[in-house]
Amino acid sequence: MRNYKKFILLGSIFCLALFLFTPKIASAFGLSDIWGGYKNILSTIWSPILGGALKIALKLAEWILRLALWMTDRLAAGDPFGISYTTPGPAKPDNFIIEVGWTLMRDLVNMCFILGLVYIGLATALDFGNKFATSKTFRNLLLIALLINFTPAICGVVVDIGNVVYRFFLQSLDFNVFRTVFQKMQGELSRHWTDVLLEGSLFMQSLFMIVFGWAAALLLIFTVAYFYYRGFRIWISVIISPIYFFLFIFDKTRPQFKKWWDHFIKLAITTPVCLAFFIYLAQFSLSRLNEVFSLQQQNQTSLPAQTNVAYNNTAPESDFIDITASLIANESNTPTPETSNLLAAAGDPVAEEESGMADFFTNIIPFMLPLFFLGFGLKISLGKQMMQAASMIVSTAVGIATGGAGFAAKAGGAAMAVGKKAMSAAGNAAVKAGLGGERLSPGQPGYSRFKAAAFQNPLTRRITNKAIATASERANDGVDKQVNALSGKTTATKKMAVENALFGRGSWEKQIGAISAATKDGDINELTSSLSSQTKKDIIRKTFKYDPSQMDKIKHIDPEAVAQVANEMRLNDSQRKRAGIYMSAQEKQMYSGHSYKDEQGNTKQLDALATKIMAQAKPAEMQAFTSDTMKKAISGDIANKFWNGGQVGKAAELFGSQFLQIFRNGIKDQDWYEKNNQLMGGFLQSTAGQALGFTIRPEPIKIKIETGPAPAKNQPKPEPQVIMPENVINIKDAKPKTYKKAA
Amino acid sequence: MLYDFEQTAELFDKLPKELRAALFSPETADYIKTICARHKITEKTQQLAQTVGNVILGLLSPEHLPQVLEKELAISQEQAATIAQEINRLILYSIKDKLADFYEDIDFAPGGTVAKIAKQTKTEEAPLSDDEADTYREEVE
Repeated sequence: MRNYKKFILLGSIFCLALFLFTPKIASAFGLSDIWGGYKNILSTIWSPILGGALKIALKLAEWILRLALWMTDRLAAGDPFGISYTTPGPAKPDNFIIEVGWTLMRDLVNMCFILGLVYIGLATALDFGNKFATSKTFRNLLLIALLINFTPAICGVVVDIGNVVYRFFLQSLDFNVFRTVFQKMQGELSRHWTDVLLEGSLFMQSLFMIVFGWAAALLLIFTVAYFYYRGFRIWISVIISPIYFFLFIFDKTRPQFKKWWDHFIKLAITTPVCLAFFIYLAQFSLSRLNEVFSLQQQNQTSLPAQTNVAYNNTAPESDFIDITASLIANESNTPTPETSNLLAAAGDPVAEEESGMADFFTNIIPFMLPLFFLGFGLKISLGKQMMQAASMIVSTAVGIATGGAGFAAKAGGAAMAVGKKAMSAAGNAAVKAGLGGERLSPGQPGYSRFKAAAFQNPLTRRITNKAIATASERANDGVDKQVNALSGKTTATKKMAVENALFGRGSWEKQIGAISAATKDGDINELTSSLSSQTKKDIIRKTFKYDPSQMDKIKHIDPEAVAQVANEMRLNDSQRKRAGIYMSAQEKQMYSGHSYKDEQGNTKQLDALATKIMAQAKPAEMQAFTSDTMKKAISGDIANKFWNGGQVGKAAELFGSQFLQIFRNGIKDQDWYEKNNQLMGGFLQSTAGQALGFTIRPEPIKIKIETGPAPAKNQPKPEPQVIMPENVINIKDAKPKTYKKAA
Repeated sequence: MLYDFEQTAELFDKLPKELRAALFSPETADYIKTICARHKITEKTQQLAQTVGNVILGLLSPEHLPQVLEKELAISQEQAATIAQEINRLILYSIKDKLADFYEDIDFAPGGTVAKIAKQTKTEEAPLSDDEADTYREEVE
């Protein structure tokens, strides 16, 4: 077994050395033809193996990072524990563990007071060391006998001070951008793994990414774990607090109390506040990395697509899509629109190895700064404790990694077999569904249909639905929390919550919460009107990414942006259904062909989806419309064609004379409404709004022109006779109607 | 009677939310249609709708509604009174609180008739003298 391990080690070192120096050897000896063939053989055999190993290692790093971010999100959502840190009580929110432990401990210590009194009596009588301070000790005993019943309250005050301060620093905790960057880079690297053996820089980049992923994950896990650990330690400290308070009574035991008290202060206030402060710094530096590193700014200019993703946290495809798609196929490496842009901008990385390496490090190194803050915070706050814990975890991890390598290989093989089987089953389902009779790969025409059919596989569907339901439930909880927090606040506060949101899911929940709260409070119109179109697009993009089912809450803030973003993200039918924006072929036909004029007077085509959202908006939902949306709805004839009286009434209520003026000018005649929208026609005939000139145009007068029988030869052609319908006044005789103004 | 749009639009912008909603409410439109059908004056729906709109806009007092209906719709006095009563009951009663801002001395009785009531006058309380208003006294050293 030992020899076998040595063999693997030596073989690995040989392979590593071989591909790292390969290009130089080839050029030095000039044996390119022979070496080229040798290279091809090596590459063909080993590249897939090495590529696969790197993939697994990167995937593991991604999973641990996901776990770390999940833990971070939990910490950001509120206190790690659902029960009090210090208050004893039989049920939640009081702490039943402290109730049991502390009560028992207090009763025991109360018995010790008798012994204390005996000790004071004996010490006084026997005059221990000629310096026993009886009165002082007795006073302390009485004081502690009283205070011992309130130790949880005393500890509670201290813990609350620490909690208030550290929660302030952690209120916008969100490091999800790490994951975005990691996935982005991972996707980039995996595109060229077919030649990984011959690409030294690619191998180095992959290793660096693995280290980056693990470092970020471990730092975050340590940080979050500390706050959980702190909770347990506080419980224990509170439980044993009666003993240490009792030790305060006597001079000889008082140092023990002081030691405990110093430790408790450190645990309750100093360490969490210090750690939270560095987390805050890390978070802040993360949000403004582009200002910290001038190198990054240059890169941002040359690679706009990538940096946009890095800073705005707009992943090329949604997490939701990633999760569901990866259940049936490993698609994380699929080229995305953004990565394609990046490649187009950066050129072929294989040909431009050095520049690719530089770009890679330029894009990844700035993210080391927040990690440095996190690490420094942990070092300062926890010092030896952290180092001990870190070394313990690392040694355990190394032990597991080496000892379990064989098992992992077997498990990997089994997992691959299962994955292959699942993919095969999904593929068979697609083939059975009659989609071309063959399995399709990402990028091939009709792949989205193939993938949708693959989802019909019962097992895949069940797993997918479960994942979707869990994600949706979580999003609802987060949004509800934000709605409760922002309800009743001013529009300016809600606007701030929307605009000042940082990266990640927590911030998105805050944005959706602010919009929902505004809808609830009735100031959604003020809020949406004050937001920039870019902000709205950003929210819409994140909603598609995190939880499409929340789209119902926000799609009316900018229907055109919803359609644009959905097209940009290339959402397929099932994703559109989840977001409630799916359109059948019939609907597409019904709602297409509408256009409006912009402020410059240019005619712009409206997407069928945008038309549908505007057309089907219920009066309550129309509150989120901006005046721009209202103008588009009228200018594009959507209002005339699809709206009813309720919608017109709501628009009039919301936009007042601005709406009246535009809508009034676009009112059609009775014939038009008969053919296109009878509901609106009926409404306009009898609405009291006619007092404001909301009157249907009279039907056009039909004039009959008779030319009579054809004239005989050489006869003059008769003049055509115009026959006016009855009750039509000749225009020459008509007098303009005058209206008397009210006094 | 149709007023100038610019002026009515300005009035509309100043209307309370409830009156804006009532003016363009589909229910109001339905009531107008029903009233016209019941009294067989469907060809005069537009005039009736305009008149109701004027009341909601604050341009026509409900008290004068029967007379205006009689004149605008060219109908009998009795029919105008009945229609006015129906309008009061079905349309205006639900927004009476807001209309009261325009027509303070009008009460929309539950039966639908417009009853004139004495305008409520607030009796202003006589201001208290300085001694009565403030009983607290600071101790003088």
